[in-house]
Parts: sequence; C-alpha cells; structure tokens
Amino acid sequence: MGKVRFLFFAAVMCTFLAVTAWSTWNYERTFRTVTTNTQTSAWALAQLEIDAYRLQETLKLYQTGHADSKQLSLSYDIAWNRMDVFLTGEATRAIRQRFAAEELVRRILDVLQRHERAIAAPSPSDPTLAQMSQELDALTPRLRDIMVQNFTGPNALQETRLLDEAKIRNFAAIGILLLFSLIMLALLFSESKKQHFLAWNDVLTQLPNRAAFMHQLAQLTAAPEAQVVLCLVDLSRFKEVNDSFGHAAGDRLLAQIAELLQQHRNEEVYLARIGSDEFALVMFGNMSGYSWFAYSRKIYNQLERLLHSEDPAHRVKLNMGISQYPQHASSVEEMVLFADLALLSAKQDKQLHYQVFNRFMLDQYQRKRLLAGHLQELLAEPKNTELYLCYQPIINISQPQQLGVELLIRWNHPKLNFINPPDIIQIAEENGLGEKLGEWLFRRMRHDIARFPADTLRHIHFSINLSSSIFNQNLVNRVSDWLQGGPLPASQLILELTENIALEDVQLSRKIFTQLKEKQIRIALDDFGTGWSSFSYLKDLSFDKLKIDKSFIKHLDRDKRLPLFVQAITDLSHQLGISVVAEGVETESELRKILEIGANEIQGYYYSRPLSADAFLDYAQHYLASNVRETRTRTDLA
Amino acid sequence: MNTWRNSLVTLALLGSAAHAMAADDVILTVTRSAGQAHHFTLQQLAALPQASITTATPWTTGKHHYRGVAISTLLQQLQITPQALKVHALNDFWARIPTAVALQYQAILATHVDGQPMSRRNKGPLWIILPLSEHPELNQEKYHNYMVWQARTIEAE
Repeated sequence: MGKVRFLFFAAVMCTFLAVTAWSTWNYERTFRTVTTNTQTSAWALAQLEIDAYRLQETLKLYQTGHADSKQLSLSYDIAWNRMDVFLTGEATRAIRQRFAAEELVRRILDVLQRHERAIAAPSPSDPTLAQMSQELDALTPRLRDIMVQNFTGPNALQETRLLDEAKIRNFAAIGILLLFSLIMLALLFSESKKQHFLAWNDVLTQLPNRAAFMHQLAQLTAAPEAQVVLCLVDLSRFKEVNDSFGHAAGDRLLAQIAELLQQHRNEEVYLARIGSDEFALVMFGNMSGYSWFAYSRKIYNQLERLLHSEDPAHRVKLNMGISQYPQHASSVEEMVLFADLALLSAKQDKQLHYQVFNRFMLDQYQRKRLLAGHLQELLAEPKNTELYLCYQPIINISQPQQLGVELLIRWNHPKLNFINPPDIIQIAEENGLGEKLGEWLFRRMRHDIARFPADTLRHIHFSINLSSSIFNQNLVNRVSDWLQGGPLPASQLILELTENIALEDVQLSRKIFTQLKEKQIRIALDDFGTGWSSFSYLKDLSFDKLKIDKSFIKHLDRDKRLPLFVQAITDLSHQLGISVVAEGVETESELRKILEIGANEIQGYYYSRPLSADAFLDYAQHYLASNVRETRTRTDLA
Repeated sequence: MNTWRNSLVTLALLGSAAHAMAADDVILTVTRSAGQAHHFTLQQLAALPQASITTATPWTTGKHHYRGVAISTLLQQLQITPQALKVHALNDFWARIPTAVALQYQAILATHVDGQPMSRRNKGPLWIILPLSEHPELNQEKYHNYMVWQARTIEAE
C-alpha cells in the first residue's frame, strides 16, 4: 500500500513538472511566433516604405536641381536592395504572403528596374525620370495601406487571439495543477490523520491507547480542583481464550468489551485500552464525586454478564482496581500505580474481584519491595543468621535405618519478624530471584551439613522444595553443579514439586524427570490434595513419592470421609509404585490411622517440629543409633 | 578564361554605371575615439589577407560563399582593440557589435559573394557576415542585427 501511494505521489509530481514545462513551452512558442512575426513584419514594412519615399524625394530634389546624381544613385540602389531583400529572404516570407505585399513590391521594383538606364545617366529634365516619379507616386501609398492593414486587420487580431488561446491553455494547465494539488493535499491530510489516529489509538477496539491515556490523565489532573477516579479493568487468564479458541476469538471478545464500555460511557468518562487485556475507565467531573462507585459496579456487572455468555467455561476472570485522585494519589503515576495495586489485590482475592485502593495495599507493596531488596542481599550470603534453614525429620516406617528430612526456609527479619515461607518464595519469583534462592538453598544446606559425620549423613535423605522458575531444562545441570564437591550424593536428594509447576508443559516435564532419574535424583509431588489433584499428574509423570497434604491428615482419625480419600490415594500410589508420605501428623491416633491406611513415611509434629541444623543432627544421631540397635537386636533375635 | 570573364564583368559594370564601384573609391571609413579616420578602398581591402564564410542568411536563398576581410584582420591592421564596433550603413541603419563576438566567430567584412563583388543593390559593397550555418546558436534576432549590409563606417569604441 505504501509503495502504491509513493508511486501515486511520484506520478503527481511528474504530472506537475510535465504540465508546468508544457505550459511554459507552449506560451513561449506562441509568444515568440507572435512577437517575431509582428516585429519583423513591422520593421520590414517600415524600412521598405522609408526607402521608397526617400527615393521619391531624392528624385524630386534631383529634378529641381537640389540633389546630385550620386545621391540619386545611392537612394535608388538602397531602395532596390531593400525590395530585393524583401522579396527574397526567409525573414520576410510571412509578411510577403499577406495583403498581396509581394505583388506590390515586385511592381515597385519593376518600376525601378525599368528606369535603370535613366538613373545610370541621369538628367534633371529627363521625362523618363518624371514618368518614374509618377509611377512611384501611384504605387508607394499602397505600402502604407499594407502597413495599416498589418497592424489593424484580422491578421493582427489573429495574433492577439493566439496569445489569448495560449493564455486560456495556461489557465487550464494551472487549473489541472491546482486540482492535483488539492487531491494530494487531501490525501496527505487523510494520511496524517490516520497516522495520528494510529499513534494514539488501538486498532482493534478503536479506543485510545496507553500513551493517549497517560496524556489524558495528565490533562485531567492539571486543573487545580481536579478530581479523578481511575478504574482499571483486567481479564485474568484471558490468554487461555486465545490459546484454545484462537486469537480471532480473543480479539472478538476484546472488541465486544470495548463496545460495551462505549455504550455505557458518558461525557465524564474517558475510555482507553492500555494493555492486551487491560482497559481503563477514567471518571472525572461530577462522576468523580459520588456516582463513580455505582457506575463502576454497573460496568462490572455488565462485563461479568458478557463474559459469562461469551466464555461459558468461565475461565476468564474479570478484575477491577480503583484509585482516586487526589484522595489517594498525588500524581498521575501514583494514581496508576495505586489502581494497579488495587487490581493486583483484586486478582489475588478469591472473592472480591472489585477492589478500591487502600493504604494496606500500598504497605504490602512497599513491604514486598523492601523485602525483595533485603532478600537479594541475603541470598548473596549463605552463612547469615537472618535467613536460614530448618530441618523437619520424615520417618520411614519400613526402613528405620534411613531418615528423611525436609528443608524449610526461615527468614527472621530484624524488623518484620518471621516472614511466611510462601511469601519468601513469591517475592523471590516476582523479583527474578528464583534461581538465586535455589542456589542459596543448596549452598546453605552444604554449609549446615558440613559438620555431619559421614556415618550419619549416609543414612539421611534430603527433600528440597523447588520454586517454579528453576523447573526448566537447565535444572539437572544446575542441581548437579550445586551438589558438586559433596558431601551429599545425588541419590540422597529428593526434589519436591507442587503440581502447578510440573504440569505447564508435560512434554518438557517428562524430559526433565528422565534426566533427573538418570542422575538418581528422586522427585516428590508435594501438597497433594490442595490443588487440582488431577490423576493426570500421576498418569503422565513418574513421581517417586507423593506427599498427602496435612489438610487430609488433620482429624483423619475422627472424620468418616477423609480416610476414604486417603486410602484410595495411597492404594493407587502403591499400585503405581509410588511411595506415600503423610504430612502434618500431630497425634498418636492420627499416626495409628495413617499407618493402618498404609502410608510409607510420616512427617509432622508427632515426631518432631522443624529443627535447627544442630538440633536435627542430634535428633538424627539418636534416631539412627536407636534404630540400628533395634535392627541389630531384631536380627540377633532372629 | 578568367581574364575573359573578368573583362565581361568589367563591361557589365561599365554598362550599368549606377552601381559601378571604382576600385579607388573609399568604401570603408574606420574612425577611432581619438578622432582619427582610416579610409579604405576596395583595392586596399582586397590587398589585406582574405577570409571567407559559406552560410545561409534569413535574407537570401540557399547558402552562399562570402569573401572579404576578417574584422580581426582589420583591427590588427589598425592596431586597435576596441570594446565594440558601431557599424553604420548607407541607409542610416547602425548596429553595435561587441568586438568579442566578432572575434570569437571570426566575422568578416564581406566584399564578394560567390566570387562576385557585392553591389549596393545586393547588400554591398560591404556586408558583415557571421557564420550562421556553422554556429546555429547565432541564428537569432540579436546576431541577425549585427549583420549590417551596405556598411560604410565603423566607429571603434
């Protein structure tokens, strides 16, 4: 399209040049023809007349004795020459052919030639000269007639007409040029309008884009008493619509949303599409005072209805985050940030997908940013006391000479006290520190177990939780690197994954699992029962262990239904060759029940809470010592 | 042969005495700014180195061979280098010719056309000729005006 347009403009420019050149040439030619003709004719005729009259005059003077024969001869020769030239050359051809001029001049020259002898040997009283004079007197006035006719006759008018025609042609050419200029201007204008629209608007929904939105916000907040309410609308898991129904369907849904927003807008609402699945409603004027709440709720409900009908699977979730200027924010940037925080909170809240910004959200945000900064510093240092590991024993029922342990991260912040471990993981993941955290875990473990006697260490199996960002193709290499230099062999390492990590890409996960198995690293499925708990994990991926979440274990002894689930999971796992670990066993009756069901390993307060490294070493040494003794005794007895 | 033809011409000239130009008549006067005048007869001009141009003109039919004295030769002869030459004709016409143009195009003061002396009745006895056919750029009004026929006097300016 751009090329076509360029060619068109080039063609217009060429036309411009051609028309200009043609009109200049055309006018020039006409002008030259007309003026040259007029000038040459006028000059030739005038000279002819003068020379003829001079001859007549000299002749008369000679006859009266006032001129000599030489003068007569000269003016005779000059007149002859003039007429000869007039009758011969190209220069006088045009005038010669008009008004029978040629015939007249030939007759005059004829008179001259007939009297050559009288001029050659003149005598004032020669009657031949008088005869000649008479004949000339009769002819020369007709030269004047020709001159007059030449200047005033139809031919002279013809020349004016030629000029007029040339003038009209020029006007026509200018008209054409003007027309082309107008067309070109119109095209340029529409093009620039289009470019302007594209620069400030989204093509799909025709709504203003993010740049226009920021610009508009700045303008709205510029007035001294301005009040603005910003409502961000976001669709979470919108990507799934694109993935399963194609981008055309996704685009259609977005266009429908834009249309709905347009339908409900009024003159105090500004709409924009500021991200792929993010819209902004800016309410100002009276809207910002009291009616924004009802309005935004109404929009929320309408959009909800639209999504329900267009996405029957209800995968896409609608979220709204709202901030107010100047009540909350003191600048445009803050207003956008605060609305974003409200939106984030809406996304995280399972119930309320509509959130108005409050200070708590900002505190949370600032706390996270602060913690992210601290965490980064702490992760660079494996030996610090603020961030450390706890070790919770896992008892293997059938193999008492082995002891399992799960590494749990602890962060004792000097000001904020203990930070919730899932928060630590989340902060690390959100700030791109996932890998650093993984590395720290291994380095810290190595540091902690460095003083474990080899005899003890070789009976202990370490479970480490993996965060999602580390679970990729480099996992095996990285873990191998981290284990390099001992003291823990890969065969004593168990990686714990939650189901959401492993099932994003089953193909890739399978590959990673195979690589891990080649290194004799085992894999446990953590927190089973809390998420989707789909059987497909168990079908598609070969886990070594399955950890039943503590929510299934708590009150296992008292509940009627829970044991049914746990029994079924355990039986299925066993049939698949997967060992079952029960988490959160706290009481003896829970233990009894789970042992009855057939769990292979037990983790929980019943045996031990998470311990410091030193305390765990004590625990392990005692546990192993007693069990080895017991085993020996049993063997001895046998 | 040549002699016979010449005598015929002479006879003809004598026969029509009107335009018979005696070889010792002054046909050209060159005046200088100082007021000095140099007179030339046809004979004197014929004695100077000759130059020729074959060309068509707007006032004649077909190409003709013109012979005479180059203006450069004349100026050299007089040892003058004027800016312009104001050429006056017998019929009171005049033209101012820049010397540079006359020299650049080797303009001549033609005395003969196709071997014949030029009579007053045929643009003689002197006609300023520019090589129009050889230099088409000269074929325009401005240069046509320089081609004074029946030239009689040259004012060196």
